[in-house]
This record gives sequence, C-alpha cells and structure tokens, in this order.
Amino acid sequence: MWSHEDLFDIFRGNFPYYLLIAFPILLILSPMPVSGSVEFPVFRLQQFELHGSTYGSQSSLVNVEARTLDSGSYARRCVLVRIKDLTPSLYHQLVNQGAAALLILLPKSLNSLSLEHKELIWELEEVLIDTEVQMAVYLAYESAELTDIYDSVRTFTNTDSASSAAAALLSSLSSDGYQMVVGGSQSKKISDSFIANIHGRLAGYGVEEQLPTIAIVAHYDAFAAAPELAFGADSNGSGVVALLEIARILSKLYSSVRTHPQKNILFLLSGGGFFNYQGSKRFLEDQLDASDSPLLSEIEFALCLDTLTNGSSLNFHASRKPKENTPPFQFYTALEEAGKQLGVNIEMIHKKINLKEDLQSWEHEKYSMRKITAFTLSRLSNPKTGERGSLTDTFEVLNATVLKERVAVIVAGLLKYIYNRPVDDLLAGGLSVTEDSINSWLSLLKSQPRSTQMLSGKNNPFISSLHQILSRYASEVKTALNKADRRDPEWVFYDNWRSSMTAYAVKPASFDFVLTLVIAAYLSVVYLFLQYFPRLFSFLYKLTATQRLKIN
Amino acid sequence: MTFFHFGNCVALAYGPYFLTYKYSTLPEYGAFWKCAQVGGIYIFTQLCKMLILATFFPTSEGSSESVNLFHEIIKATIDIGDLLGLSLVIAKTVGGSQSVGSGHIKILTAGLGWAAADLFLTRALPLWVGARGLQFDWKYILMSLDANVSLISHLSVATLIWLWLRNDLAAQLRPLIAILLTFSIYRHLIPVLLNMFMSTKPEGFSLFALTSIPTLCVAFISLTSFYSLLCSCSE
Repeated sequence: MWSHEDLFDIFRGNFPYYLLIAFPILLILSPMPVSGSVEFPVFRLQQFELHGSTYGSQSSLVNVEARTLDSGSYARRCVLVRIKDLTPSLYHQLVNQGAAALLILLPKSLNSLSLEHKELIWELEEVLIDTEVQMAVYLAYESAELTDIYDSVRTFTNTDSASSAAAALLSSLSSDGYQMVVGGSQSKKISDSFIANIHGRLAGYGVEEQLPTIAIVAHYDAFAAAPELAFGADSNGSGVVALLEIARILSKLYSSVRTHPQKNILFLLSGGGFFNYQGSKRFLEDQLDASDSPLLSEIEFALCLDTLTNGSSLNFHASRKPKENTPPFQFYTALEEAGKQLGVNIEMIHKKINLKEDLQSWEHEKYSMRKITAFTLSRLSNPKTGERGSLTDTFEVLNATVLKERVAVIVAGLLKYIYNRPVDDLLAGGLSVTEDSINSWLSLLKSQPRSTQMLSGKNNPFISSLHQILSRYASEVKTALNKADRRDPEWVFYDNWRSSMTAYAVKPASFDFVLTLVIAAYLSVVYLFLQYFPRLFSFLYKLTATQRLKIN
Repeated sequence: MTFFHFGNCVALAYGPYFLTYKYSTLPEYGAFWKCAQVGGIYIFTQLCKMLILATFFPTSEGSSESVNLFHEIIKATIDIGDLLGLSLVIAKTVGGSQSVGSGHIKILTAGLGWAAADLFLTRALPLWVGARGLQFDWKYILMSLDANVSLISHLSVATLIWLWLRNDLAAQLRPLIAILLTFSIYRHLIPVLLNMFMSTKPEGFSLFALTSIPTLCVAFISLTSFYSLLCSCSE
C-alpha cells in the first residue's frame, strides 16, 4: 500500500526535470481563451509603395496595453484617440515617442461632421498616409463597447499622475486596463496585384479608321486612409456613373441609322486613379507604343471625369488653353451653352504640367504628356484639397439629384459637340439622363469599398460586373490587367486591410503582487487556525463541560 | 492574465487543502492512500449520478435561458447520491476503530478526499484554461475562494453523516442533522430561488457571500454537535 512517503519519493528522482520540460509544452498546447473580452472590427491604415517610396503604416500586429492621450507617455503602448482630437503635430509626437499602435476612433456617422471638421480630417489623412511609420495604425467606428473601453482606459491612465504611490496603487487595483491585441501574421506584399483597365468603343458611321475619336475616361477606384473605408462616392463614383450613363445614351444613338454620328467614342474605366493614374499611364503605353494603335488613332481629345457632384460649378481643367476652332474649344463652348441652359456654371482652369513633380494632379495630364489633347471635368478647382480620396466621401453625402443634373450637362454638351447642332429634340425623345439609371449605377458602386488594392485581384467580381455593364453598351470591351514591373515596381500593395482587434481587461503586474501577499496572509491564517485547532477544541470542550456541570 | 495570476489562484484554491492535510494529524495515520481511495469513490459516485440524470431526466432542449425550477430541484435531488457515496466511504472504506476518539480522522479522511477529488475534477481545468488568459476576471479568484468554502462544506457534510451513522447519537439531534443534510443538498438552489421569486440575480462577490454564509453556519452547527457527542461520550 502507498503512503504519502512513496508519493514524495517520486519527487526525489528525475521527475521534477520532466516537469520542467512538460510544463512549457502544456503552456504552448493549451488554447488561449477569448471569453469575456471585447472584439471589434478594425480597418488598417494604408500601406503601399509608389514609385519606390513607402507610405503609411508598416506594421499590422498589436499586443500592447491601451492608453489615451491623457497619459503623458506613449512608448510601447496602443494609443486610443478620437479622430477629432488627433492633429498632425500630435501624430508626429506619437510617432517620435515610439507608440506601438494607434487606434483612431471614428464617429458612427461621418456625414454629420461639419465642413471644418472634415477639413481637419482631410489634413490628418494626408499626414497619416504620407508619413511612413513603424507602428500599427487602425481605424474603428466607435461602438458603445469602444466608448466604455475608452473611458475606462482614461480613468486608468489618470493614475499615472496620482498624488502618492499608495493612491496610484489603490486606483490601479480598482480600475481595469486593457490589452489590445491584433493577431494573425504581419502584413506582407501582395505578390500578384493587377490594375485593371476596362475599355470599349462605339464605332462611328463610315470608315472606322478614318473617323475622329473622342475618349471618355473615368477612374473607378477610390481612396481613403484605410482601404476598407474607401467608398469614394464622389471621387470617383460620380465619374463612373457619368461615364456609364453617357455610354447608355450614346449606345442608343449609335444603334439607330438616323442618328449614327461620324465619330468614334472610346470609353475607358481606368484603374489606379489614386496611384498616380497608373491605369491611364499603362493604357497609353500599350496603345501608343504598339505598332498599330487603332484605339487612339485620329484622337480628337480625351475627356476625363473626376468628382462631379456637389458645389455650384463644374471646372474645365486643361493644361493648355484650347485654341479657337479646335475640337477642344468647340466642345468647351458646347458644354458652356449646355451648362447655361441647365443652370450650371462651367469654368476654365488652366494649369501647366509641372514636369518636375513625380505625381500628376489630374488624370488628363497623363494624356497631355503623351501629346494627346485632354482635359478633366471636375467640381474641384484644386486637386489637392484632400477632398479627393477621403473617409468622408461616403454615399450618404452624395446627392443623386445633383449628380443627375451634372451628368445631364455633360451629356448635352457632348451631344451638341458630336452633332454640331442643338440636340434638344434628341434628348427629349426618351434619351434623357434618368434618376433610375443613376441610382442603379450607384447601388453597384455602393456595394463594396473600391480601394485600388482591394480590386487588384485577378478575377475581381466588381471589375467583371463593370466589364459586363460596359459590354451592354459598347463593343470590343476588353479588360486589360496590368502588372507592376518585376524589377522596379511602380506600385506595391500590402494586405491585412481589415482585422479584428480584441481588448482584454487586464490588471497591472502590481495587482498580482498584492494578490500574492493577500493570499499568503490568508494561508497563514488558515495555518494558524489549523495549528491551534486542538487548543480551540479543548477550550470548547471545557466550555461545554462547565455548562453541562452547571445544568446538572 | 499571466502564469503568475494562475499561480495565485492555484495557491488560493489548493493551499488550504494542503495545509488541512499537512497539519491535521492525517500524515501521522498515513491517510494519503485512504484519501486517494475516497477520491476514487467520488469519481464512481459522480459517474452514477450522471448516468441516472442522463437516463431518467433528459435535459429540456432549447429553453436554456429560462430557469426551470423543477429541473433544478431534480438536479439538486440527485446530489443525494453524494450523501450515499460519502456514507459508504465513512461506513466501509475508511477503517479505524469505532471509538469516538478516532472519529475526527474518519471525518477528515473522507471529507478531505471527497473535497480534493471534487476540486481536481471541477475546478482544475477552468482555472488552467481561464486564469492564464489575457483577460482579467474576478471569477477565477472567486472560484478559488469557493473551493475553500466547498472544503468546509464537504467536511461538515462528512461530520453530519458520521453523526447520523452513530448509534449513540442523542435522539433529539437526529431531526436537526436530517434538516442540515437536506439543506446541504439543496443549498445550490438558493440563487435560483432568489432569481425566480425576487427577480434579483446576484453575481460575483454577493453570490459568493450568499452561498458561503449558510454553508459556514451549517459547518458551525455540525462542529458543535460533533463536540457535544464527543463530550457526552467522554463523560
């Protein structure tokens, strides 16, 4: 039979050493629980390379304690901050102090913000993207749970400035800290990323090769601080809507013998519009450098559509002032007349291309650089306000009625130019821009974020649906997938756009230490109790005995 | 939280068991193996209980949210199996003389063995899995504290059963002991009843206090009855 001595004999042998090996194995194998913790979706800041320079946050892993801006030190911490509290200088301060992560809380609806706030957000977004940082930066919509965490962390970190060590200890024992964790693997390069161009054409009446061609271009991608939040309603959802609507109306005119014009139309839905117009650049290279370039022969001009809704006027951006009696000038006057009719002011803005700059500000500059007359129609007078490609550019803000009016102006101007006569009769005959079709294009665009990297897969469903829609109205529709150069890639995208962050309530290490002391004290009380149990026993015995004697 | 926290919880849960064994003259009697045997019987009893529960009282599916008093009472009633098992242990397995003087050894061996087996089987895994996680939760400390209360509870039940099995127990004490034993079976119903009739759902420390204070009272009463028997015998 075993006695307890036998059992303890085991511990005298090699057994303890086996335990030393077994424990770490058990530790690794046993699963980590997630019960009780708060999990929420987070959207990672942009991370990409363009023309060899790096942008955005270079890391995606987080496993550090949370702090708010109230605590003075941010080193190796995850800083929680509301977007309205974050300023560019504060961001640089966080980076310099070596914060490990940053979680930016977005208000539930961005469209309720005032213009002033939006301008601050645009400014901040630019800084966030342009600064290359090692820390992981995430954005999240502020839910009720996140508000609780934020408030809790705030009171928790205020103990850093408590009056005495004891007070700090006491308050840290009573409040919760949070450990923020984003697991998974570190963000890495997406090896096969394509920028797709979709182009199709409408052939004019006559010998096709000898007819002049008008190119209508809109880039379909969107941009924001986080790829997953890039819905790009106005830029450039509105451009795509306008292009599709023009294609819809022109296809009807081109299919009827009576109204078949003597001009070719080329439609191009280009990709990479926020990556220095890589789509247009590649398209031009492919078409112009090819030995036979049927698409761009006899081109009159290229019309780029970018950011059309809202505001009071449309701006006609050109890099060179069109001379009188040239096609661009005729188109401009046609457009002006149509605008006058429909109450939209058309303004000419001309700005020379700065060849020293790597990045072009408007898409038409890519065409102008290749000696093709081109201009951009946009409501923006300046491309660099930050309004293009922002978090705030959501479909809730987009006014479909205004967009319809803008598209109507462009269609009227274009038709006027193509037929070189008033076109009110054509537009009246069931060919007008309708809100129904505008809304149907919008619902397609609304369905998913359209950041360039999210559409860079080989068989992206969004690209294929654009292809399908365009092939309804134009012929020879092709999707060209452009791959970055192998040795010297123009663009490199990184993955991990969306993760889930987990906030674990934690206590500081000092809490465990205090707990150990309390438990030790408790155990010694138990020990004393057991030690003096016989004495207590005899005391009680005597007490009851005397009572019994008294009774007897 | 950390492995350190897990260590704390384990120390809090297992410390009193170890101290009780070490400093209650049990080692002098070489009672370790006896305790282990008691643990074996505990496991057997639990298996029987589970079989009976699964065979005769299949769980009502779906309505896990609503508290069914009938089911709760049945579940608590099955705990009579515990009493039967413990009485078997005290009557047969734990040997020793039938004298009153060795009574405390019997009670300690049976109660401690039973409680230790209970602790190993019901609390070791949740602590191992939960207390090491990143998330801090008071429930693991409460679970460890509850282990201490359940040690006292098991010891007091063992005392009561031992008293019940004595022939020389004063007749007027028997109803009291019967009531206490019944209470010890149904004590887990206290929070359920509170939840049903007063629509308050105690949690955390208040729940712990609610279940532990009656247990401590029962323990105190059973201890004094044990002493009174001891006194009456030695006189």
